[in-house]
Amino acid sequence: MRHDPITTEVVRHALETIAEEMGSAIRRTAVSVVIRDLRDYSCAVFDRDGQLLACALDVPGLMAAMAPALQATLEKWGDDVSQGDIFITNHPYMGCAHTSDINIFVPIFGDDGGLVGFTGVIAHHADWGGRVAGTAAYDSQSLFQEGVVIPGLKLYEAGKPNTAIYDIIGENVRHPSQNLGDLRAQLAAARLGSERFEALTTTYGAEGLRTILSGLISFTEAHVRKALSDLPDGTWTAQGAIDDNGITPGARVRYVVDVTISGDTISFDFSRGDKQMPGGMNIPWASLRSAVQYAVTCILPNDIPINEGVMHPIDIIAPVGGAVNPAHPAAVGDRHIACERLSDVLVDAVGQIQPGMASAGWCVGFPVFICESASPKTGDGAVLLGISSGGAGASSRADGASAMDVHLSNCSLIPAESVESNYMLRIDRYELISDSGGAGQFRGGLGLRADYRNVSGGPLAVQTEVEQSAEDSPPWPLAGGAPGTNCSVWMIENGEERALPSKGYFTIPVDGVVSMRGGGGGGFGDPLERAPEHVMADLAAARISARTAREVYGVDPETGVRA
Amino acid sequence: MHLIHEFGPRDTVRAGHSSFIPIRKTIMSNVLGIDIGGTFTDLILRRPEGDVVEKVPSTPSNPAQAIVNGLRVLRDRHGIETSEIDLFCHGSTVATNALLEAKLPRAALVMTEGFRDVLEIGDQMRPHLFDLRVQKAPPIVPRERVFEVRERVDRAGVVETPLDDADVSRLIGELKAANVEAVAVCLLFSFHNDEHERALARAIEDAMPGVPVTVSSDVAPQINEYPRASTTAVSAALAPLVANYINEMGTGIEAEGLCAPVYVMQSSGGVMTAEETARNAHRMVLSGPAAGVLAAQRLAEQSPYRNIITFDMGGTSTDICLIDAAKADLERETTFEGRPLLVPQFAIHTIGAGGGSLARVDAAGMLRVGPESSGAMPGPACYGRGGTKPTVTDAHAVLGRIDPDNFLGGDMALDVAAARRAIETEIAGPLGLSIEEAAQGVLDIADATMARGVRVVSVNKGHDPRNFNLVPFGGAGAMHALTVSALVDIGRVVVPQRPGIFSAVGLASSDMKYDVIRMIEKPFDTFDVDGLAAAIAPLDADVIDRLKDKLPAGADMELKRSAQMRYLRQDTKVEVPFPDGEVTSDLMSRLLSDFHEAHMFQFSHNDPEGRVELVSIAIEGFGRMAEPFAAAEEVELASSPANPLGTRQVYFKETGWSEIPVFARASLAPGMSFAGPAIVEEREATIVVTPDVNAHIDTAGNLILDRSTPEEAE
Repeated sequence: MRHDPITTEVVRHALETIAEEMGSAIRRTAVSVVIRDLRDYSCAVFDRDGQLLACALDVPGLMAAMAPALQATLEKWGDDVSQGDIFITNHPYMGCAHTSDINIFVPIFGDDGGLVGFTGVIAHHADWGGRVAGTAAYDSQSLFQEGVVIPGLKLYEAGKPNTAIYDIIGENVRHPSQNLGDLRAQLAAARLGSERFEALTTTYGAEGLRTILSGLISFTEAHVRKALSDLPDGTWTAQGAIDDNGITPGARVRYVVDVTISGDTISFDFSRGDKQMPGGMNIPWASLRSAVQYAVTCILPNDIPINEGVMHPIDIIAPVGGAVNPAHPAAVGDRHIACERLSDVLVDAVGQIQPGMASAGWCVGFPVFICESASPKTGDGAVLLGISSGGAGASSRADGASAMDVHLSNCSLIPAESVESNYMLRIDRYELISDSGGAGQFRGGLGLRADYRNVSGGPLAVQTEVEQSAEDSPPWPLAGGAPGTNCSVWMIENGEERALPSKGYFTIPVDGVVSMRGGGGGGFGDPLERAPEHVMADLAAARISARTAREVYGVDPETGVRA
Repeated sequence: MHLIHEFGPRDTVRAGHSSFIPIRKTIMSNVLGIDIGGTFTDLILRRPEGDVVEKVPSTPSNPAQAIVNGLRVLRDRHGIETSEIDLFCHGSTVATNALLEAKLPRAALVMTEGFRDVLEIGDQMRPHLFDLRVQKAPPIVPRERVFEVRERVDRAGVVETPLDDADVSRLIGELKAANVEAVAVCLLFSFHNDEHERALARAIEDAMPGVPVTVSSDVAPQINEYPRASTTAVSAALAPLVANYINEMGTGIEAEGLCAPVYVMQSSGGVMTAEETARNAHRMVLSGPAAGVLAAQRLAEQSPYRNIITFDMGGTSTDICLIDAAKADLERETTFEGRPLLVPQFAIHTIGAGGGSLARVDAAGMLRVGPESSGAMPGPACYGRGGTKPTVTDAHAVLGRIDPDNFLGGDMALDVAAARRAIETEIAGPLGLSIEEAAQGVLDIADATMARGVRVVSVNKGHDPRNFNLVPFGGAGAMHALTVSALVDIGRVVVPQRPGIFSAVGLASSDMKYDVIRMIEKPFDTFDVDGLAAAIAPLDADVIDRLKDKLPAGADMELKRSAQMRYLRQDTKVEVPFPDGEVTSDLMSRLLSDFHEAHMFQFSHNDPEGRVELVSIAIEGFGRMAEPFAAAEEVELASSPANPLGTRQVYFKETGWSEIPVFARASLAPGMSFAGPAIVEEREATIVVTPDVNAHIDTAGNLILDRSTPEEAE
C-alpha cells in the first residue's frame, strides 16, 4: 500500500512535538535530581501494537527500551485495555531494563472506540528499594535484591487508581516522597501527551490516523532497508570483555558479536559470548536492544526519522542465559556499566562495515564516584553521583574529542563550584591527562582526571564504579594507530599516590584525595604519518610530552622536524 | 514590580514607593534606528512629523561604512541633516559574525590551578548522540594560551591559598611570552570574593599596558566555573575587535557631522553606550534578533495585545519568543554555538526553517523540508541566480502568493517558471503529484516545523498558546503566520507596521539598560528586613550611578528587581520579580509566597513548608529615552471597506486556484476591514490572508487577522 508522503511527514512532526512536550513536562515537574538534571528519562508515543512512533530523549540507552516493555504488558492483558487504564511496569524479564527504570503507559482511543496507540514515559528513580541505597549495585546477586518488581500492572483501572500498588511501593523504597513525586510527574506527562494524541485522532479520524502511523513506520523501514542494501553483504565480528563479573576480581566476562548483512537485513548474533555472570551487570533484553539500535543508528544516514521501522530489518540472536539476555533471576541493576563495553564491541563491528563513519575505540570505563557527605548548606546528608569521562576515539578525518561522555549515556560533569557548595568535598582539579590519547595520524581524545578532596574534617565513605581498567582492553586503535590509556582510581594521602581497585567501597582519610582518571581514546593511522606541525601543536599545548613527540611520533621537539 | 526614579536637574533620587508608571516624557524626538543585517542595512528615523524609512546595502568588510552611507541617503533623499538627529541606536552583528567565523584576536585565559581545561572539558556532553566522530566546538581560547595561577578561595569566599608574588611574576612572564591581545581572568568563587581577580588584573595591566583585561567577577559574577569562564573568555576575545569597530564608526559618523550620542543594542533588549560596548562585548552577541522582540514588546505595551508570540521568519531560520503581559521572556543562562554565555538575553528559540529551506524527497520517498538551506547563493530557484533546488519561497511563488513583478518593491524580478521547474523535477514528478499539491505540501511541512517552535516557547514553559497573539515579522513571517497559528490554536495574528524592518523599529524605540546580578546563596530565613535591604542597596546604587551618568537630564529611570530562589536542596532556580517598594517584612513574606506560587506554575508542585534559598538578586535598570509607540486601540469598523489594488490568481488548499483581491498595505487605514482570502503587499513583506479569516486595521495601523472559527482550523 502506498502511503501519503506529505501527511505522514506532517504527522511525524506532530508526534515528535508530543514527545518533546512530554519530555519538557516531566523535566519541569519531576522532583528528583536524576530526572531533572541528569535527564535520565525518555518520552515516546507508540501505535496500538506497542511499536515506537516517535521519542524524545537525552540518553540513547533508553531509546529502544520502552517498546518491549509495552509489548510484554500488552501480551499479558490482551484485549483488556480500556479508556482510563494506565499501565506501570519495570520487570527486567518482561521487557524492561532494570528495576529503577519505571515505565508508565497511557492508551489512546479513537472516535470509533478502538485503540489507536499509547504514550509512554520511562524515568530512572534514584532509589527503588532493594539491598543497597540506590538499588543498583555491581555486586548484587539476584533480581530479588533489586527492589520492588512490578510485572506490567494497571496503576489506574478505568480511571480509578489502584492504591495497593502505591502502598506497596511506599513501604519498600527509601525516600517514598521522591518516588511518588516523580511518579506523579510521569503520569502528568503521559496524560498530557495522550490529550494531544487524541486531538490527532480527531483531526485525521481514528482509522485514517492508524493508516498514517503504519505509513510512518513503513517509510523509516524502507529508508533503513535501502541504506542496508547499499552496504556490502558479509559477516563482521568483534569482541571485548568487562574487567570482572562483579563478584570475583579479574573474572572477565566476554561479549562476542557476529554481525551479518544480507541484502536489506542485518543480524546481530551474540551466541558466542559468555554465559550470565553471578554479579549485577547482566544486560537484559531491553538494554541489549537499545545498544544494537544505537550502533546501527551510528552508521545510518542521519536523516532517518527514528521509530520502530529502524528495528524491523534487524534480527537479534541472543540465547537466554547469556551475559546478554540473562535468565531470571540474574541481577541486572548495574547493566549500564557493562552496556558501554557492549556498545564498544558493537561500534567496533559496525565500524568495519561502514569505515567512513567509524572511529577508533572510545574510553568506555564510565568513571563514577559516589559519596554521601553532610551538605554545607543544610547539614543533612546528601549523595553526590559524580560522573566523569574519557577520550573519544580518533577517526580518519580528525583527532578524537577529549573528555566526552560515552555511547549510551550522556551525563554532564558537575561543576567544581557546585560540588564544593553542596558537599564536604573540594575539587582539586578537573584536567585533561597528558599523553593519554592513543597516538596516530589522528590522535585519540584525552581522558579526564577528577580529584575529590575530603574536607569534611573526618573520614568519608565513598564508592567507585569504574570499568576498562584491565590491562589488555584499553580503547582500541584503528589503521595502525596506538591504543588509548585505561581508566584508574588513585588515593592521594600526604603527597603519596597509591592505586585503588577500580570498583569498591573505601574511606577517604581527612584531607585525602580520591583521583578518578578516565582513559584516552584510541588513535587512527600511523603516528609517523601525523603532520609534524600537529605534533608540535600538541606539544605546545602539553597534550603530549617531548618524549612522546620524539619516540612515538619521530619528531624532534626542538626543531619540529621528523627525523 | 516597578520602582520609578525621576531625576530632577540635580541628581536627587526619589526611591521606591511608586507602583505606577508616569507617562514618559518626550526625551528625544528624532531617534534613528539602524539594523545592520547580512545583506541590507535598515534605517528608520522616528520623528514627530512622520517616520522616514530607508534601506542601503550592507558593507560586510567594513560594517560602519553602511551607517555612513545611510546617513548620506537620509540627507540626499530626505533633506535630513545629521544635526537634527537627537539619538542614534544601532544593532550590529560584528560580535556575532566574529564568533561564527572564529576570527578572533589572540586572547589568553587565566584560571585557578587545576582548571586549565575548563573550556575544553565543558560539560563533557555530546552535541550529537549518534555520531562516532563527534567533535566539540573548539574552545574560544586554546589550551596553549590558558594559564594557571596558584590561589584558592573557598565556597564561603574565604581565602584559602593567597596569591603569591613569585607565582604572579611567573604568570606574567608566560603571558608576555604568549604575545596576546587580550586577557580573561576567571578564578574559583570570585563571585563571593573578587580580591584575587582584581589584584591579578592590576598586576597584568601594569605589566602589559594596552592589553585589555576582563575579569569574571565583572562580566558574569555567577556560580559554576565553566559558564563563567566561557563568558569571560568570549568577552575578552571580542573586546579588541569591538573597540576597533566602535572607533571606526565614531570616526565615520563624526565626519558626517553626527554628534548625537551613539548606543548599541544588547542581547537583553536595551542599549548601552558605545564606550561601554567594548568592555561588554559579550552582551551584544544577539543584538539583531533582540531588537525585533523589543519592537514587539513595545507593541504589547501600547495595545490590547499584551500576550504575544513573536514569529520572525527570515531566509534560513525563524526566531520565536514569548511575551507575557508585555514582558518578553528573559533567560540568564544561554549558549551561543555550543558555548555558554551568562548574559541576560531574550529567550529566543531559533528553528532551522526559513524561506530558503530546501525541500526534497528522501530515500524512502517521504517529502522533507530543511534544515539545509539554499543560502544567499544561489538562493531559491525563483531568484534566478542558478538555483535548481526547490525552497519554501519557490512554493509560495508557484502558488501565486508573491507578486513576481513587485518583489522587494520591484527591485528583483521573480522567475516563477524556474520555481515551477524546481518543484516539478524534484518533488511533483517523483511523488506523482500536481505541482500545486507538491508546493502546498512543502508549505504544510514547513508550517508543521514552525508550529513545533511555537509550542516550545509556550507549552514547554507552562503557557497556553491560545492565550497569545502571533506577531509575524521578517520577510516571510506574515506568509506563514495564519497557517502556523491554526496549528497551535492561536486565534489572532497581529501584523505590525513595517514588519520587514521591525528590528530597526525596535532600535528606534530602545531604552538604556544595565543588568547587575549578585550571588547570595544563603537560606532566605537568615535575612531580616535590614539584612535584605543592605544586600540590595549597593546593587540599586550601582545601577542608578551608572544610568545617571549617561542619561539626559530629566529622563525617567525604572528599576526592576528580581530574586532567583529555590528550595534549599534544589539545583534549579526560579526567578521571582520583587514586589514594589522598600524592603519590609510584608514584602519579604510576599516574596516568599510569590516564590511558592511561581514554583507551582513552572513545575506543577511546591513545598510551602520547605526552606528556601536566596540564590541571587538581579536588577534590570532602564533609562527611558525614546517615545513610546502610538497607542493601539480597537476601532469601530468603518462603513467603507478597504479597496483592493486589483486581483490575482492565488492557490489555497481549501479553494484551489481563485481570483482574490490584492491590497496595498499603505492604502489600509484604521477602521477598514476585509475578508480572506486576500493578499496584502508592502515593499519588504507579503501578507497572506487565508480564506477563514476576517481582517481589519486598528488605530495604530496594525493589521488584525481573526480566524472566524478557530475550532475548525486546519
